[in-house]
Amino acid sequence: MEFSIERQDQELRVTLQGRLDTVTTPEVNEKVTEALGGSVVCILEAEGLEYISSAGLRLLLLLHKRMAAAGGRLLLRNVRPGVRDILEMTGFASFLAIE
Amino acid sequence: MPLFSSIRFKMLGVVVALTALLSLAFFQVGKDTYANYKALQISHYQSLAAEETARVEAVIQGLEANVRELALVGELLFQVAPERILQSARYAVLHNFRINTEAVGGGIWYRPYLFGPARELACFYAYWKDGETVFDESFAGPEYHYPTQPWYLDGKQHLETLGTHPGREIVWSRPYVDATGTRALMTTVSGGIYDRGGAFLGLATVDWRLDDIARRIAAMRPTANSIILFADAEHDLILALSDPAETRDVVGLPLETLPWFDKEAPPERSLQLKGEAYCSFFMEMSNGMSLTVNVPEAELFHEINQALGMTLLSLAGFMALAAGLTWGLLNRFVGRPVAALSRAAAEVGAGNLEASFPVRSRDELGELARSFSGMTRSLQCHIEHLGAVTAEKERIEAELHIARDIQASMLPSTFPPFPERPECDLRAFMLPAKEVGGDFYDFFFIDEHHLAVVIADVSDKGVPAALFMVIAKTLIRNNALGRVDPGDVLAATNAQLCENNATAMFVTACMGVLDVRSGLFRYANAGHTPFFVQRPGEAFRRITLKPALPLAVMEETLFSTETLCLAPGETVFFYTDGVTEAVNPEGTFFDEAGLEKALAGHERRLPGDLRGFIEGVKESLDAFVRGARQNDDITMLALTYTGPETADRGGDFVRAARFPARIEALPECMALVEEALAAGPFSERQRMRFAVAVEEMFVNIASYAYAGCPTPEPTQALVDVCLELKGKPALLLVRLIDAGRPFNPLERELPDISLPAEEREPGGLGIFMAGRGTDAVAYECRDGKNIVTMTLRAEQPSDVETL
Repeated sequence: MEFSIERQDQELRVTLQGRLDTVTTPEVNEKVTEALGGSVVCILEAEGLEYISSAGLRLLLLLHKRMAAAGGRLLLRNVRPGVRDILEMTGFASFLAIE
Repeated sequence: MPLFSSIRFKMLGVVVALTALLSLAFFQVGKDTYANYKALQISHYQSLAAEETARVEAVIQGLEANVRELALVGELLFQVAPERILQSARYAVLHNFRINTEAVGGGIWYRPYLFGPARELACFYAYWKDGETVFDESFAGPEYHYPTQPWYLDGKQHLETLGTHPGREIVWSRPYVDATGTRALMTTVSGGIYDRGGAFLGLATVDWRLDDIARRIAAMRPTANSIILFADAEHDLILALSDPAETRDVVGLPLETLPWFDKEAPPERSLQLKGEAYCSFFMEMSNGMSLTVNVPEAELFHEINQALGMTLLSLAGFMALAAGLTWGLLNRFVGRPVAALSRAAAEVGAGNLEASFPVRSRDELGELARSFSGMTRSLQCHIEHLGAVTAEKERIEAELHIARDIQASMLPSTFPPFPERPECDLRAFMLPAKEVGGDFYDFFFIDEHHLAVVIADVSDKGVPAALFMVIAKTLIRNNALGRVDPGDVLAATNAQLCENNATAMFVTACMGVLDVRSGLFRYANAGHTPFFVQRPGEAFRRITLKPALPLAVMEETLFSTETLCLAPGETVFFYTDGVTEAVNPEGTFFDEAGLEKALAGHERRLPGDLRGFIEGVKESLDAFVRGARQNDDITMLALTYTGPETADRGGDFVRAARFPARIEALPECMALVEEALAAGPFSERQRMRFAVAVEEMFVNIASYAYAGCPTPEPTQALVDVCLELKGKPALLLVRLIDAGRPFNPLERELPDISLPAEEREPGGLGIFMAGRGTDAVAYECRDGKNIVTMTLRAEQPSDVETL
């Protein structure tokens, strides 16, 4: 799993590359939470995200809740069909903003 | 029947015994009479003898008186006129014997020289001759010289010895034979003649013929063979009557030499002589003469004995008559009727109910005969009725037999049932306890890939159960169309059965649906017995079913579907409680233990010889039951999953690896899974979902399976991962096996995925995803291991995606 975090003003852009699974998610979770700060918008660039399991979904739920609590929002971009299928299957697609 | 055990014989015995008792009573009464009679008879003869004795005694007294009188005459004649003695004495003697008729003769004999020296002899003797008294002077001559005659000397001597009362004493001479020519047996009574001074003057004598007394006594003669003895004073026998020959022999013998003489004997006694008993009477007269009368007892008691004999004879005759009469009457009134009844009854027994009982009497036997007749009539009616009933019963049985054939034809009975389907093999049978049973089994393909098997037991047996069974079977088959979930099928069937169930019957059932492509076996239970599963080379294990109500009990019952993943070669065995509740003659149940033993005994035939296996189990059951009555239907069904049909098995992808049960091992495991997924014709979507499913399960095991264990060695906390990719259509099977604490991840509550993010909890999502990402996921705990099996099959263009 490779990921990069860019910060522009109040916008946090996280680019994900690889698999977001039980093994990799904790690190992502730690770094993103650290960098979140007072960001209003969090954008996840998911074009390189090949795989997501329940651990990754939990991260998405956590981020979504935190952004919502701070009056901001979480945005997913360029989600692959396989990952989108998982999101739809679990009902996450209904509340996550996916571009 | 032996004669002595017949009623007649017994009755005869009673009659004989009664008669004998009667005779005994007669005898007791007659005994005294007999004794009295005897005594009477004895006394009669005694008095007879006494009477005779008295008569002789009277003669003796008369003779003695005569002698005294003569002596007195002699004295007077001598005193008054001795010179005229010749005339007066002659006259006196003659006169005397004219008066005294008992004597045959007698006279006066003066002593010598009483009338002077010139006259020595002076005697005067007269005797009876031809009714006249004759004076005999021959004795007065010197030729006879009476003073020297023995009788004179004896008499004189006797008188002298008696001398105390001179003048009146009497001497009886010994008997002698008359010398005068009559040759008669005589005795002489002598009396002394004395003067006033007591001087002896001579003798007066009277002669007596003993013949007289003999004749008289002989006339007495009590019986023909009586012996009468007459003895003189010296006890010389002078007369024996009854046997003239003997008389001659014994006359003159001393009486003491004869056996019946005993002076000390009582006047009447009994004695034995020459083997004969005599009643003996002994009487002595005043002059010493004695009379003995011996009457043979045989003659004495002849009459009474004869009477007694007659009585005994008549009693015997009476007894014989009574016995004969009894025998005859019993024969007539009991024997013959009983024999007739017996013959008729034997005839009835032999089957002839028309037999008549020919006894018309009005007694008990007649009553018995009438009862018998009534009985045979009733029997005839009963048998006719029975015939009708039997015919009716046979008709019903025939119909039941047909019903059984129909029922049998309803159960699929062609084996192997699906020869064109190599994926599975199946054997089943049902053995009804009655003509038609309540058990049934069924199997059919719901669609091309789903084989349904049903085993069920209706709550009763016989025709009602069979009818209910037909309904249940038909409904299940109908409801299975288009449904691969057995729980749904059972629920639908239950609802329909509950609609019209007036009889309150119910059915326990277990239904399984096997996906022959994947080996996925879904099953649902409605109160049925558990089933068994066997993997090749392993033992049968019991699959405990979730408890549920039987069908037709309550509407709205839910039947949950459980799943099991059958590997190729695995066999499922179903049965009904008729198997475990079969009893042997001792009343012991076969039980689940017996069944498990039977399964273990035949599991080596599997896979392959499914028919041999199920027949073997049945034989084990038969060997246990040993012909005892079957109480319940016995049904068994065995299904072997031989594996999906594949055209090319050579390209199969099979992998197995062992990983530490830690999150860190996940990438390695997932790489293997990805490899397998890539090898099959799966869509990206399927691959993603299935990978997620495997990861979730792996993570679950890594997180929880060994949690709580005291820091296990890395070598102990392991996960076995087996992957199998098979043929066409492609099927991927992944098994995760761990030895951690038993834990069924599928039992976790699933999250509500429709909730908004704010209400979502982070837990439970993984299991949900694992379920959604597979075609089937099954959990089982076997041999202390948790086994999770996940199946994925490739999507076919024809598949209708229901997920």
